[in-house]
Amino acid sequence: MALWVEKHRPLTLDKLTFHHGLTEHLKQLAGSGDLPHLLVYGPTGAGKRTRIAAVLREIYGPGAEKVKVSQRVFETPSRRKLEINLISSSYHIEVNPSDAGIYDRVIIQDLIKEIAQTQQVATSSARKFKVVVIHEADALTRDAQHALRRTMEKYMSNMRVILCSTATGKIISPVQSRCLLVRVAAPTSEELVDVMGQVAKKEGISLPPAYARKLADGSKRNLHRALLMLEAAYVQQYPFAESQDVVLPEWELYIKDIATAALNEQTPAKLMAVRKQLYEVLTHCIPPTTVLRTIAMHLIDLVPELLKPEIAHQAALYEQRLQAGQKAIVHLEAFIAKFMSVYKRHRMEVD
Amino acid sequence: MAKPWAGNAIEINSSPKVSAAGTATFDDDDFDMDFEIDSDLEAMIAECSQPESATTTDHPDCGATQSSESSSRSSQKQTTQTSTQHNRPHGRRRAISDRPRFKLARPQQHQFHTLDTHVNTIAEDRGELWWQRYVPKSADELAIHASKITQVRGWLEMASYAATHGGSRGTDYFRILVLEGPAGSCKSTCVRVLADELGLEIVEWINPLSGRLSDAAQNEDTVGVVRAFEEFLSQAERYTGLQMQKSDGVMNDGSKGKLILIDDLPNIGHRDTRLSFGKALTRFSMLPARGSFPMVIIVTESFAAQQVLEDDGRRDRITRRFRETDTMQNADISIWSAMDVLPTGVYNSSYCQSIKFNPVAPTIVVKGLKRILLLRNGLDNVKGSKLTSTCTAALKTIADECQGDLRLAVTMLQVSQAGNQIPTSLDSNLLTVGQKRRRKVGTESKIVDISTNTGGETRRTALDLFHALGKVLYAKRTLVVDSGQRLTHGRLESDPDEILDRLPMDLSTFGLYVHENYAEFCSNIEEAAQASAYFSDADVLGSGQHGAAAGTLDVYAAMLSVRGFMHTKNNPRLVEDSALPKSKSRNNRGMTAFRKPLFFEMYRQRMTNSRSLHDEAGIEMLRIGGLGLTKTMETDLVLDVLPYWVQINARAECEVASRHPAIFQRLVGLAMTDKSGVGNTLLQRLAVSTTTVRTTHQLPPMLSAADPQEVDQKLVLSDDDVEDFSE
Repeated sequence: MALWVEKHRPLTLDKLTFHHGLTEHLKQLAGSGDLPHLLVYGPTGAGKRTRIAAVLREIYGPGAEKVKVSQRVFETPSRRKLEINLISSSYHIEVNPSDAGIYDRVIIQDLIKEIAQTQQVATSSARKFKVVVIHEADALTRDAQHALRRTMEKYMSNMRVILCSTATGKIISPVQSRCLLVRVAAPTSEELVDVMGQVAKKEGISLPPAYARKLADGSKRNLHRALLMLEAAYVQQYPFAESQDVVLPEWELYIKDIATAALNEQTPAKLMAVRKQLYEVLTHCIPPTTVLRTIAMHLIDLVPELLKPEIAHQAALYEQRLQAGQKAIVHLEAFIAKFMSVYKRHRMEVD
Repeated sequence: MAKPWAGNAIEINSSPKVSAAGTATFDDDDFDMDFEIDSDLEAMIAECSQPESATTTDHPDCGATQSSESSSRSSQKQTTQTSTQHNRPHGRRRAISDRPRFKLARPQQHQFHTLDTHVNTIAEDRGELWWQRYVPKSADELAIHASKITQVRGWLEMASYAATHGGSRGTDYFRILVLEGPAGSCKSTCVRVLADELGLEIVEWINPLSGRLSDAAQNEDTVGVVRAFEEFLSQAERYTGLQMQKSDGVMNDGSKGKLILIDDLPNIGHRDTRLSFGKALTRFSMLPARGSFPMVIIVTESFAAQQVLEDDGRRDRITRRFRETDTMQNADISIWSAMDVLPTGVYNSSYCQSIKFNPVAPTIVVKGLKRILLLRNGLDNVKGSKLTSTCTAALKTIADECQGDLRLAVTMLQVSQAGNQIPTSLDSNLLTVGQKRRRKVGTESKIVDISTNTGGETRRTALDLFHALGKVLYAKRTLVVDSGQRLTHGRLESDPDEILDRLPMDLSTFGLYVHENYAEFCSNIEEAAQASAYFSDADVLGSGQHGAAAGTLDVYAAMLSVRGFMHTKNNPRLVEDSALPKSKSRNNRGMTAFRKPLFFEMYRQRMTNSRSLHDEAGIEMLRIGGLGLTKTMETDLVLDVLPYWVQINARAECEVASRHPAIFQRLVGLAMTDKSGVGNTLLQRLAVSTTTVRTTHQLPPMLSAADPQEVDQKLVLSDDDVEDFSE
């Protein structure tokens, strides 16, 4: 039973529902017979990958959809073996080098070299080049990006790279300048409501616009999540009621509990309890930055106006330390402790 | 090889004279000296005329460096010799053989009223360590608890019986004995001594030197080692087989057979080596007991810095001080133990038995050291010999400091004695035997006096972890009379630098300990906030993103966190700012239990979870759920897809959940769904709807709190019942 989000994913450029101007551009590109390197960027759930897949299909036809998942073993210079999951069709290959951590350079080089050095076998295909899609390109290390820069030029004749990233900031400028930058903005609430309406129609359920609006707001303009929410809500209670709550992921609720706990009591004992909860979240593979951000945002929602800038400031400070440091728990806890002391002082002053 | 000054061979000839020197000639020093030299000359001559093999026989058995041939030879020789000397006391022989044959009798030593034997032994010590020299020769000299000796002896007896006679049920299982324990806990010595006692010949595996192997055109010399090991094992077996055929279980010379000893493990750290080592052992354990010989593997447990506490013997003492929740996690953390060395299949099989050695207890260490001191003074078999109280105290200091490592203790004793040879140190740091004086008084007891200088000068003792933690966390201050400054809060009783200098572990791990426990010692949140800010800074510093500076910054990081906390603690400034009366002092509320950092445990758990997302559970989820390309995106998967997927599938027809309950429940756990009320009801519903599949053992404890009817229903339908029925 496939999720709706997969089931109703548009497969061709024609079926894309928003960003029509962009769609036109992509169509022209794909139709022109040649393709530059692409750097597709935009927030999560905006439809980057859907668009990439649609472009591939536009270029190669339905054959690009026949993908298989395989595991490849790469060997690092220090002879460590890395297993990487690859998704490939006969025309393209998708890889997520952040799986390899600091060894991503090896993968970039080996993989691209290998693909670039083999010519397209199927003579029937209209294109001479293959495509390498690199997901989470902003997680690539500097080394890997520099390696990429050279390979991109060298194998231009029979290989194209499509980078997929949430922001351009972490991509080095030589790579950026070799790519055509494609920005995929987050859909507006209206567009989200529109898409959800179409999905609901296909599933044969009725979705009241007011509730759709609520879902769209709850998803924070993330289409991917909005559709998941819709399905979860449908499973939970149907027909939909106006007052029905938006289904949030458990981890988010749990993190919000932590924030609320910090708001209710400011003692070292509470801090200890919070540490346990933080560990709990971290062991469930929730990225520390997400944890910090969720807590901070939730707190900002709850505290009085006066404290908001201070909390934003502290959150930024500790997120920066989180990036620089190694032990996430130390920084998360320090942030909570700082918040507690700030909030406690504020309460005393009010009293 | 025969050194003129170290010939130990002819104690049979010289013993009457020497023992005479030891007792009768004591009144006249000069005469004594002459006499000694005479006997030594005699000894030298006798030695030169003896074949070399005789010289080797009496060398103490310094096992670790002996090759298998020489060890077998020496043990045979030993048995023959024992038989010729059987009517003489064991200890006596040792003592005399330890006496030198040739030495410089310097007059000034004489004036110190030291026994000349002492001077002699020192002269002879050159290049030899005491722990090798004074290795125990019989079971009652071993410095371990008697029950351990009985255990090991029992096993060896059974095993050798099984090897020679085989047959009877039960003895077949005595194939491999694993001795685990920290360094210096008498593991090897115990085996050697007992094997000697039981007449077992030891065949020992010695790692080949890598130098030789690199010649042998091997790409990886480790492979060579592995091959050599396999060959060693098969040879050991084959050899025994031949011997068995010949004498059919009855060995001559009382030798009951052989014992394969693996003390020197191949390089287990290398994956391939470990695998083939494991394979060889597995094969070995499968062999029938009869016709092959038992194996003893000695595993010296070592621990990475953060696992210092897992040290076997100290574990009991320490876990008591940890809270209960933590003790559960303690069990499986030891980093380098027999479990890692041996394949689990072998370790857990009934063919393998493991005996754990604890660090040697201080009292036993003292006993062992005393034995050596007495041996050195030739007083070992004199009834009523005892040490002076200062001497005993010195031995106690050594025993406390050696942390259960007997080898270390003996070396410390030797070093402390070597220090005494410096003529300028006249402060009576000399080993003297007060026998002469005592005799005049008329008592029979002989007293050895030693005072060691193992105190502060030679080696600064490491602080106990809890001691160090306590020093930091309590941050005691002595109040100083403040001169006008309002805000001083006293001087720290213990210097932070001093604490860091004497840590029993590495700095960053200690930082984790402090961080784990600091919050309970903060009296208010302001303190906690400031302290945690310091910890955060320290972590950034210590994270080593600074290239070459990586290692050096650790020191600053540790200093920052320790000093930061100690400064923050009970700082009047913070208390004033908070405008709150200071909550009751933490120091007064009795003992606080320290906790072990959860950090490593949590890290590992995170890794496991992450792996299971990529492994079966994740792949299965994607397969069942028909998810496509999201596979490679872990964050996406965790943050969005997984939580909704679980909810959607759990609430729908439960098809997935009923078909793959185990996987589904793992995913539920991963999605944190089990943390909330929704999750509880969900799991309960699952429990009801999937009772036909065996899932009961995996359900979280919350189920027991569910209403009894539901539980009843589950019990009735449980798969376990069906199984019982079919049986």
